[in-house]
Amino acid sequence: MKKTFLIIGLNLSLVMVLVVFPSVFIRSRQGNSNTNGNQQFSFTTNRPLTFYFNSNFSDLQSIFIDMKNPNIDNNSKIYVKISGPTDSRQLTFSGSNVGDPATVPLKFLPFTDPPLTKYQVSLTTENTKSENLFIITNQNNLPVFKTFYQQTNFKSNLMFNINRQLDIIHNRNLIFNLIYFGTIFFLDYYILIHD
Amino acid sequence: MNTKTIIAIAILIRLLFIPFFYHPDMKSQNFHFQFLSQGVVNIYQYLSDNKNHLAYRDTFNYLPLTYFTFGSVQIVLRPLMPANFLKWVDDWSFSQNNYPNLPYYLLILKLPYLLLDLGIGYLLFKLTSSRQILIYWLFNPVSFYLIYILGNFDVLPVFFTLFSLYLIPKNAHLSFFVFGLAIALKLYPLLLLPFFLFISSKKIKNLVTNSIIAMLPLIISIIPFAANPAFWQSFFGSGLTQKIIEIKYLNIPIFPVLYLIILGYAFFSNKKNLSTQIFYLFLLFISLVNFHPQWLLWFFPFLLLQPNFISTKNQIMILLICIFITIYILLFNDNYLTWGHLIPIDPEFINLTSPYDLIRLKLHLDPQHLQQVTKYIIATLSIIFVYFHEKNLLNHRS
Repeated sequence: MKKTFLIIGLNLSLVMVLVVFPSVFIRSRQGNSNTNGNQQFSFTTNRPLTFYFNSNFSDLQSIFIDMKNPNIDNNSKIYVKISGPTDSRQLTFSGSNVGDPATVPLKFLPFTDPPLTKYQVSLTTENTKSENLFIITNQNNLPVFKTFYQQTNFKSNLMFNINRQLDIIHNRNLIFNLIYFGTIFFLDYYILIHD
Repeated sequence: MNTKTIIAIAILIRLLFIPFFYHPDMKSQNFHFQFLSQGVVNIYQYLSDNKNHLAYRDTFNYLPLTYFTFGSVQIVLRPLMPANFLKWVDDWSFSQNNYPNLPYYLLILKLPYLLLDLGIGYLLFKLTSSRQILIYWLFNPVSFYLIYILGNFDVLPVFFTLFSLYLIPKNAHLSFFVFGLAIALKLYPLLLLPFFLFISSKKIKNLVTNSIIAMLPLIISIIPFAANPAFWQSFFGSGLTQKIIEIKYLNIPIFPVLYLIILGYAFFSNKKNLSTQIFYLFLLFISLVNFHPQWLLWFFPFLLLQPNFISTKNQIMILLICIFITIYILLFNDNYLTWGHLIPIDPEFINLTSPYDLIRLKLHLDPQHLQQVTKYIIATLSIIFVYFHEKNLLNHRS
């Protein structure tokens, strides 16, 4: 009986660490992003920037955009409008919130649209000086950005994590999987048969 | 359960858990170690010359023997790695954590640590003849955290210092040569060296001979780099020397002064109780140095050598100190010391709010101030601990 508890405890603790633990704490998921780009798009009143992306989960809740305010000199207002098919969000912040460089977090009330929704992000500013406020973009003027999606429901989060772990295991090297699961099996067997 | 079974279970549990804990130091060190396989001998000059072309631009702040040892280890381990290991080592972009094989790399990279961890357990068993101490070493969360979660190579010099202690009664010269290897890998054993010298012999001739032997590996390994400014520049980028003189009273650094007092105690004491001396040094260190968590490993095996380590009173005090050290660690402004360790399970962990930010943004408290308060508490507990420890020793003698 003691051995059985030991085996159940050990295997359960692995499941806890690998699936349940992330489900409890990870409340948002990163989705579509553009992580490549080192161009500095001079961001002024006359040069607004608009870009589009398709969501890959529901409940879009924040967008992180890479910007640069050299020496944190510029304190102009920056306006952001995120528009979905049924709803939109507007945010305002100042140049002093932009570092040199910084990934600027734009957090808002989550959208309720389903996955694969097309969003438009429009960035405008009161800045008139071309040399001290920039958006980091790729060569097609697409900003370096990351999107995040709310995930607060434990049950759906748990299901998501189970699928995600299965997906990771599937993509992982076969030798590692064999060694790893072989070790679990061997340990269970060892505890079971040994005095 | 017999000892073999205990060791087998300890190994298997480690194999199950070590792939899923990460710290970026392991990657940055392996980024530098990879250049040995490309024929780079002077890593300091190479990094200085190629700084602008490299994916990771920090200097290599360790000693030459560290580079050659772990560069060689990486060469040996490379055939066990999946094909894209070097791609991961070179990837410092946004996608650096999105590698499904990350647990595989970590498992292989930590295999040498597993051997050294077991080696330390073996030495502790030989030094104490206590099966209980061996079990304590193999199944306590502190050594697991320090060796496998932080994943730093400090476990090698720690192994050498303990091996040196084991060798002292058998062959003092060999013992100090082994100690010298630890110094040549990382300079911190210099803090422990005088204590080792005193328990070996207090005769001037022996002190000088053993000191020279202990310094030989360091001197031999840095001579080829001594004329290279890039070496010195990189080397003085490391933190320990600065940190031990950081806390001052009347502009006098307190740690060195109290260190000398403990050293005097060790020199004039007739007892050959190295573990107590290192234990006091440990308490002094955690009280007066703004330490990085990985540095705790330097002392941890020696604490287990303490007489009556397993007594209830000691356990309670050690538990209290461990709790406050944990709080101290959680208050670092570094998500890689908290959630970031779990990246191999899910890269999203790095985006979770760190305890530092949580305290700052939700409770509107200054985490750095709280960290200093925690250190005062650790210092107070340490004083209480030393008082009761000395009192017990006196009672024991009378």
